Parts: sequence; structure tokens; C-alpha cells
Amino acid sequence: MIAGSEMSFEDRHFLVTDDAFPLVYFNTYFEGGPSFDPPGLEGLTCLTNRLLIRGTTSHNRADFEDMVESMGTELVTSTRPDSMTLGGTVLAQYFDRFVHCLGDAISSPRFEREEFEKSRREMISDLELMVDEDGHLARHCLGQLIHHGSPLSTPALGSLDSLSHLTLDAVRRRHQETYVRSRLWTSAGGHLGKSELHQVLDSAFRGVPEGTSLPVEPMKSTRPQGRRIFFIHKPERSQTQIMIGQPSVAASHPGFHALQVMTSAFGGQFSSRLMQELRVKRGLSYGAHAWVSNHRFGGDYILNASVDSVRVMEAISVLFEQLELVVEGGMSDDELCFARDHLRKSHPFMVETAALQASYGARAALSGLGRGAQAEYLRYLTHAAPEQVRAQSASLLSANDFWVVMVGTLTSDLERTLSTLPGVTGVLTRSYDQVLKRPLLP
Amino acid sequence: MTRQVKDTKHQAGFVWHAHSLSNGIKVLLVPTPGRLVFSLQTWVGVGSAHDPHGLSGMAHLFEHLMFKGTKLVPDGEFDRRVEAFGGRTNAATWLDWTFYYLDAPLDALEDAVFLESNRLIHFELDETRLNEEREVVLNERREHVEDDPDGRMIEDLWTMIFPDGTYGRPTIGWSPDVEHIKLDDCRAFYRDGYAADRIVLVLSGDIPSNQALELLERSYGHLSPSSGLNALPAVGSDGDWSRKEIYLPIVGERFVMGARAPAATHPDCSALQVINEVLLEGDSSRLQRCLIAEDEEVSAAYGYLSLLRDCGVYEMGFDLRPDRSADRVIARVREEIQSVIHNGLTDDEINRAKARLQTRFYQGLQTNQQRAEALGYWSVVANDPSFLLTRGERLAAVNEASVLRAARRWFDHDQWSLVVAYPQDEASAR
Repeated sequence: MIAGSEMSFEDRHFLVTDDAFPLVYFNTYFEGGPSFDPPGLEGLTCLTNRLLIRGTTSHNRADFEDMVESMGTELVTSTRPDSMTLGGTVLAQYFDRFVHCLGDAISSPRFEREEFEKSRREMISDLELMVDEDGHLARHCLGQLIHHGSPLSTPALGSLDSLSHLTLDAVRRRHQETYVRSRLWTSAGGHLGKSELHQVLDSAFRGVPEGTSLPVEPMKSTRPQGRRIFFIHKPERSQTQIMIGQPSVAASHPGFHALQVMTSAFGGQFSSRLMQELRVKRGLSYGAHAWVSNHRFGGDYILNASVDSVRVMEAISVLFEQLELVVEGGMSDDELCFARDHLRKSHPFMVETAALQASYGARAALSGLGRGAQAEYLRYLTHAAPEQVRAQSASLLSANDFWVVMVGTLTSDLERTLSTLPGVTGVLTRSYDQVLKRPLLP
Repeated sequence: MTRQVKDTKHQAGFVWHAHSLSNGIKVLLVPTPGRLVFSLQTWVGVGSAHDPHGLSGMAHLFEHLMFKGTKLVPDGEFDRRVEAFGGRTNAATWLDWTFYYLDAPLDALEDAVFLESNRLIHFELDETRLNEEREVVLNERREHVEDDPDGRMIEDLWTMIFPDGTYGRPTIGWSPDVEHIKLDDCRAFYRDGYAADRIVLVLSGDIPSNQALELLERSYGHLSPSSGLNALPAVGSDGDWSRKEIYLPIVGERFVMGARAPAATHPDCSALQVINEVLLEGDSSRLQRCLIAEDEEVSAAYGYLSLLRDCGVYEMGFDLRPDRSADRVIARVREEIQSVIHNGLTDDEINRAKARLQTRFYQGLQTNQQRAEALGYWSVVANDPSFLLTRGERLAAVNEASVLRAARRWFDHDQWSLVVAYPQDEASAR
């Protein structure tokens, strides 16, 4: 049985104990993210994060990997808009050793020049190969477009140009300012007790300096004027990816819960509007979804469908029409109550295991929410009236000013027809093998 | 009958209880005290390996059709009712099985069992529903196969490994076959395949056994056993151990290669899984280290042993960095396989692999859904859910000798199928 305990250790460490299996999930989170990459050095945060696990001052890369993986685990890193994560899942008997390896990686990375160059080449390759996966490519471009002009547009991988300008000195500076105790959070779930965690953290992170808190400036994104389309041409596509996006609010915004409920009704479930309109009624798509991804500094509001290429105009027209209906007319009381109740009743899945519970707490904290975030969310889902949801959410979206990224096979007829869609103020096109070789917009 | 997963060092784990309903449906109950949600899964022992001749994709299309309406639950209502009580539902089809899950909060148990049993026992179909879902499946195929480089390559690979066996036909089906599936075909498939003797129900949650059994007996007891399902041979005759080249709109070369491997219950599977870990799993694995970290030829690589009822497949895939040569990497991979055949693995490598597999074993049993899925899978593929434990015991017993034996038995041949994808702009040069 999961003990369900949430522990506070200097308010930055979340622990949930579960003795069912001899396993511990452990993650560290450092506040920051690609939005803090200096202009011209996009990709710096991601590269620094990768280099942390490429050896320490006492072990070269191969020895460090062998040491970690001999415990039956691996160190996994990821970069989110508001944080960097390092951690892994380890057999409980190795927890102490594992966290000490992690502590070494954070406090004493090797930062060898050869590994720096390799990691940079690896990121360049990751970018170049992204064009092979239509969905990833669309998402990568959309994020840059909808936040154009704001630090939020910075892609984690950077660009081919910015990666060529990164230096090892810049990495070292980024490391010194970012990987500090004042920006560190942890989550642990599994076969682990409070006192053991306390001891291990204290010992393993002793070498991590206190540092200074993350200086946070507001990051505002400006919507485009009108509906703007960016079409990435790829030959022989039988399906066309369509992603419609606009900036959204941070997780701490007072209207965020309303937006979540509305989005669930719009495109979050099988019974939602988009799924019914595109897949069930018209057979246009295998799936059609809406979601809001939020973090501490902002978020993205996205509609997505992958549609039969011969019916792409019909599909995009339906998407536009449905977005207008939702923003201007709102959704019905029934739809909103249904979505609200579904989110409330299904919430236990979000925290079903110790690992999920612990990381839920950490993520909420990283998003700038208080310790009562979960309770507050559930209270909202219990009491919010549909008119309240409607009023709060509609004001956060636009039916007229947004970006559309499409990946498919472009013909001259299609290009001409796209520009005649209501509200479209521009259609930009680029070939898939050129799309990442220069900035998407001037 | 009760079985328990437990780690001998830590004496922790979970239990399950095996039962049968009066009509032969097997039931596994997995008590998970304190959990607020449950997972109800229906495992059916028919998959795409049972698709009739000329109708590949039948099992998968049928899986889609199971979400359509019945007399008591009209079209569109199934998903809506599940969402109304805070549940989530989906299904999957593969070669040996189809499984359906419905996860929900505890207070929705009766509703969930009603919905699942109703659609299983009172399946209905008409032309409209069939045509609607056919179109959805064709869209799915376009997205996940025709427009997806890996989807294309893997489909070709498996067809080469089993050229006339049903394992070689894509689960999603070839488009012309899917377009030819008729109502009568679906009804026959339902009658013969979705029968009591082919079904295992798995219920994982904080639910008293007697309550669960009474509810399941009441709800599923009307389903009859089958009169038999005539299945074509899954494996067929010899494979096509050649090389196929295709051209795709990609920027880097990539390839997949595969060979036949033992069936899921064969003792050599554990040794082969250890070999796969050493070759391709983790940064310290041999091929990841040399091809990704040292030589920088490859951007991503994977290895996978498919655990199937009649015959497995060991498959490897490599995405090369732009301007790198697939032939060079293929040669390197073959060298490494030969090294394992001749020299085996070191003790350190074996111990590391076993620790990693053990970690993943426990990781795969965290949620109700995962536990139910693990037990359901082995119930169908091995006819015995406790094979989940047998595998763990066999893994613990793997040593240098068993690795060498398995490598020589299953890899020491030229019988590898290979599919290489080149960027389209290389077509004229080639």
C-alpha cells in the first residue's frame, strides 16, 4: 500500500514511500531551461545538461557509464521549458551509490573538450534527423513560431547556426550559475524512508554550491496577426500533419484550470468535440486532439490532427470552424460539466504510484504553484460552474490570431487554396530538407 | 490457486489468484490494497496471426469495431460512459492476441464490467459501422506505416522473415485486404475467435475476490466456448534472408535487420535478452558505445526480442547520422554478433544486463494496468500467467555458458533479413 506521505525537506524534496518492490524512482530538477539561453547561443542549456553525464572529474565517460549501469540503471536527462531533469530508476539496494553518482555528475562534471565537441555534433545530428519524423518536425517548428520574439520560442536543441557558436567556456558558466542548491528540487518514490533520503541527499549534494535563485522576468509572447500558415513540403505524404498553436498562460495563471477543463471538452477525450467532428462524423483523421502544455513561464495551446492528404482542406476548415465556435460561442454546459467531472474522477490515475505522486508534487512546485496545488485543483473541479469555466477560458484564446504548421505534400493548387481560407494572412512554405537550415522567420 | 511475485531478497511483491468461470473463461484477480483505481482487462487469444487468408488486418479492424455500439449501449455511448465515470479505455492487437483495457475509479466497477461484458457478448455490426472504422484504420495505416520510415521498414522486414507465415503479415493489414473485409467475415471472426475458451479476464485493484468473482460470473457467464478457429501457419516456410533497399524522404540512411528467434517459452529467451542488453541497451552497451559515442556513425539504435507464441524475432534498428554509410555499420554489427558467438560475454556484462532487466521487470509492475497486462500477456502467450515468474528464475540462472550456447544456436547463421532505407536524393546515384 502506498503510504501516501508527502515529505517536506527544506520544502524542496518530495518523497512518497512504497515498499511493494525494491525500487526507487529519483529525479533532480533544476530551475531554468532553454528560455534562458543567451541570444545566439540557443541549445546551451540542453548541451550543458547532456555533458553532465559524460564523465566526472574522477571518472571518464566510459567508466562513469559502466559504474552507473552496473547498478542496473541509467542516468536520464531531459530539458523542459522551465527546468532540467536528471535522474533514473534504481534498485533500492543501490540508491545511495546512484544518488552519489548523480551528485558527482552535478557538482564535478568532467567537461572534456572531446566530449563537448561530440555532444555538439550529436545535437546537430538530432536536429538534422528531426525532419524524418513529421509529427516531431511540426511540433518543433510550431513552438518557435507561436512564441516568436520571446525567449519562450527558444528550442531546446537550438539551431544549426547557434550550435556552431557554443563554447566550452559558455557551458562552464551555464553550469556554475544553474546547477546550484537554490534552484534544485527532487522527487523520490518507492522503497525509501525519510531518514535515509535525508542522509543520502545531504551527503551526495554536499559539493553542490548554494548559488543564487533563478532571476525570473516575465516572458510574454505576442500573437501573430491573423491566421498564418507555415507549410513544410515533403514528397509522397499520404497524411498531412496539421498543428494549430497559440501562446497560452502559465500554470499559475488564475484562468489555467478553466482552460484545462475547456480543452478537455474540446479535444482531450474520445467523446470530445474534435474527435467527434473529425474522426467519428467525417472519418478525416485517426485522431484529433487539443491540449495545453503549461509551465512556469507560459505555455502552448495546440490543436492537432493527422489527416488524409486528399481531404486536408476539409479538415483544416473544420478545425478553424470548431475553434471559432468554442472561442466565440463557448461550449455547452453539458460539455463543460462532463469534462470537469471526468478530470476530477480520473485524477487518481495521475497519482496512482509513489513515483507519480512524488513527481506531481515536484512539477507543481517547479511551475510556481504552492504546496496545496493538487487540493486547489480538485476543489476547482468540484465547484466550478460551467459559466465560470466558459468566461475564464474563452478570454485566454483567440480564434483569429494563431499559427498553423503543416507537414505534407504541397501542390500549387493546395498552396493557392490555403491562402483563400478565411482569416489567413500569409502562407509560408519550405522544403523539409531546408526547413531547419535557416530561421523560420526573418 | 494463488501465485506471488516476490523478490527473494526483499520479500516484497504482489499476488494474484487464478480462477475459472463456469463457461471456462479464465480469471486472474490481482489485489492491490489502497489503490483508488482498478484495471479490467480482456485478453483474447486471437491476433493478426489468425487473420483469414487475403484478409490481413481483420483482427485489428475487429478490435476497432468492438468500440462501436450494441443494443444496450448505442454507438458513441461506450466511450462517453467510460469517461463519465472517470475511466479510460483502449485496446491493442498484435500477432498472438488482442487485449482491451478499461481502467476506472473503484466506484465504477459494476458499470465497467457491464460495459466490457456487454460489448463482448452482444457484439453487433452493420455496413455503416464497418465502413467508418475501415476508413479510420486506413488513416492509421497511412500515418504509422506509409508515412513513417520505421513503420515501412519494419513491415517489410517481418514479411521477409515470414514470407508465407501469418507472422509476416502486418497487424494493421495491407490496404487492399482491409478494403475487402466484409460483414460476414467479421461475424465469423467474432464467432470463432471471441469465445469463452479463448478469453482471460484480469482484474487488478482493491476489490474483494468474492465480490469480483460473483460480478464476473454474472456478467460473462453467457459467453460460449468456440467451435474452433482455423488458423493458417504462423511461421510458414523458410525466410527471405536477403537485403531489400528502399528510398524514402529522409536525410540519413537507416536500416533494420532481424532473424528468427526462439518462441516465448523457450529457455534460451533469457540468455538472448541478456545478449541484447549487452549489445544495444544503455550507453555502456557494445554497439551504442562504439557506433554512437566513439565512431559517431549512428544517432539512435535499438534491439528487441519479440516474445511470441510460435516463433520469436530478434530485431535491431539503426538510424545513421547524415552522410554516414549503412554498409559500414552493418559490417560492424555483424562483427559484433560474431564476437558474441565466438567469445560470449564477460561476467561483468552479464551481471550488468541482469541488473538492468531486473530493474525493468519491477518498473513494469507499478500500476494496476501494468500488472494486469503482464499477467494477461503470459496467460495468452504461454497459457500460464506464472510464466512471469519463470522468466525471472531463468534470467537469474543465465551465465557465460548459457549465453554462448544461445548465441551459437540462434545467431550463428547467415539468416538475417535486412531492410535498408536511403534518402531519396541518393536514388539516382545508386
